[in-house]
Formats: sequence, C-alpha cells, structure tokens
Amino acid sequence: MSEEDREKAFLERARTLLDKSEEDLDANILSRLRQARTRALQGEERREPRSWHWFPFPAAAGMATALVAILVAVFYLTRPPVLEPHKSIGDLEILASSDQLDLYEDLDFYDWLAEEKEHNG
Amino acid sequence: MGRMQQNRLAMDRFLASVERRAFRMAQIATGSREEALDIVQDAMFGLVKRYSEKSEKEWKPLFFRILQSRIRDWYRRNRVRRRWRIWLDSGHKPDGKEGEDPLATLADPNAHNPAEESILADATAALDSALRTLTLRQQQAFLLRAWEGMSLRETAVAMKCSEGSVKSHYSRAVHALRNLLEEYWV
Repeated sequence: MSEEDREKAFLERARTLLDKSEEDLDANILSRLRQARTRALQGEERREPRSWHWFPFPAAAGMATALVAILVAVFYLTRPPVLEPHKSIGDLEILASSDQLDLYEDLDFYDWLAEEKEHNG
Repeated sequence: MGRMQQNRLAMDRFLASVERRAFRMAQIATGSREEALDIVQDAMFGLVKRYSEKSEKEWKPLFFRILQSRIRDWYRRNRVRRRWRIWLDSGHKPDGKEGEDPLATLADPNAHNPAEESILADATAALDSALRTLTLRQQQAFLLRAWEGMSLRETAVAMKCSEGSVKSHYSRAVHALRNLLEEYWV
C-alpha cells in the first residue's frame, strides 16, 4: 500500500469513528441540544456561565479575584513555565490573540463577504 | 406561512443538522460535556442573533467560525486555570510527575474483545485522547478539514487564519495522529 493510500485509509477510519460517536450521543445530550436550539430561536437570554454560579455575592467574587491575582503573580514569579512544551508554540497564536468576538464579529463578516466576492468574481 | 416563520424553520433545520457535530468538536476540545453544551449554545445564540437574516448558504461557515471562536475563548480562559491546577497538583507530587498520560486510554492492540461495540468505543476513546494531545489549532484544522470536509478556504475562515496556516496545522495534525494511532488501527 502506498503512503498516500495509507493516509487515505487512516483518514477514512478517523471519519468513521467520529461519525459513529456523533450518532451515539446519548438521549440526555440530544435533549439538551434541542433545548439550546429552541432557546436560541426564541431569542431567550442565555443563562450565566456555569463557572460563576458558585459566587453568590459580588464582594466575595471581588475578594476571590484579588486573591487569585496575588497567587497567580506569585506563581509566575516563582516558577518557570511548566509542561506541554510541544504545545506552547501552537498555543501562543491563540493566547496572544486579543480578538473579541462580540466586538469584531460583524466586521469579520463584512471582511469575509468582501473576500468571497473577490474570490468568486 | 410568513417569511419570518419560514426563516425560523430553516434556521431550526440548519441548527439541528450541525448541533451534534458541533457538540463533539467542543467536547473533544474541552474534555467536558457541560462546557461543550455551553459553547454550542453560545454559538447557536450568536448565529441566530447576528446572522439569521443572511442567506442560508452563509450559515454553515459562519456557525463554525463562531463555534471555533467560542472554543478559543474557552481555551484562553482555561489556560490560566489549568496552569494553576497543575501547579497545585504538582505540589502534592514530590517527583513533579504529570497527570495521567492521555494515551493511557489507547486500546491494547493485543486485547481480545469480542464485542464490536466495545472495540469501536475503545477506538473512539483512543482517537479522542490522541486529538487532545494536539495543539488546539491542529485539532481545529483536523476536525474541520478531515471530518467536516471543509475546503482550505472555508477552514481558514472558520479558524480566522491564513490558508497557509491551515495547511501547516493540518499536516502536523495528521502526522501526529498517524504516529499515535496507526499501529492500533491497521
């Protein structure tokens, strides 16, 4: 089998497994996806991100943020970067990016439309 | 039927057609069902809120663009949390050992398992684990190109990067995944 054929077979196998995993999603997930879709179509306000539910009071959240900031500063000052060195270069592109989707999404869309017109026309 | 109602039905059909795949992409990226559901829900809101008046053929690239942006946002937020957790965890391990090797879940090629479903589940778990060892950009490029079947150009739009970057990320992803998995599959 040629190298190209081996790669093709590998990709086919990966696709088959991913397709199967999509088909096999459990009823609970499917139901929650359906609910999310319905809420999106009705334009309901999105619930707060789960990660902040455990902060009942703004003051507690502020104190916790300050504490975390201090601990993170200590962490960065006292320890060299650790782990996943093979990922760091690829991650850098994402971590360094300061794009804010909410601010720029519409601009992105018009950029994209312009590119499409240029590409097709 | 009014135009608005037709548009709503079309959007409902579209979202139903992509929601499972979107969930799996987010789940692979985050390793969490709950986070993945939040991300998919956000992406649905983003599409409906901003682009439901656009033509239907524009929905797919826009939806995946929003989804990938949400995944990147999640990744940036969690990068700090993850480093913090690793630091705390390493405090409990004098030898500084890292957590469980994600490839530890790879199926044993010599294992005897007569149930086809179980073999498939093992193979899928191995693929998920291998995908999680990639950088997020490589993972996105692989899933959008190899699974979703997007063109180079569509993938670049979804990932907000150049076509050259997509090529490079995709090629590295395929190489890494084949190294990790091929001997178990062939």
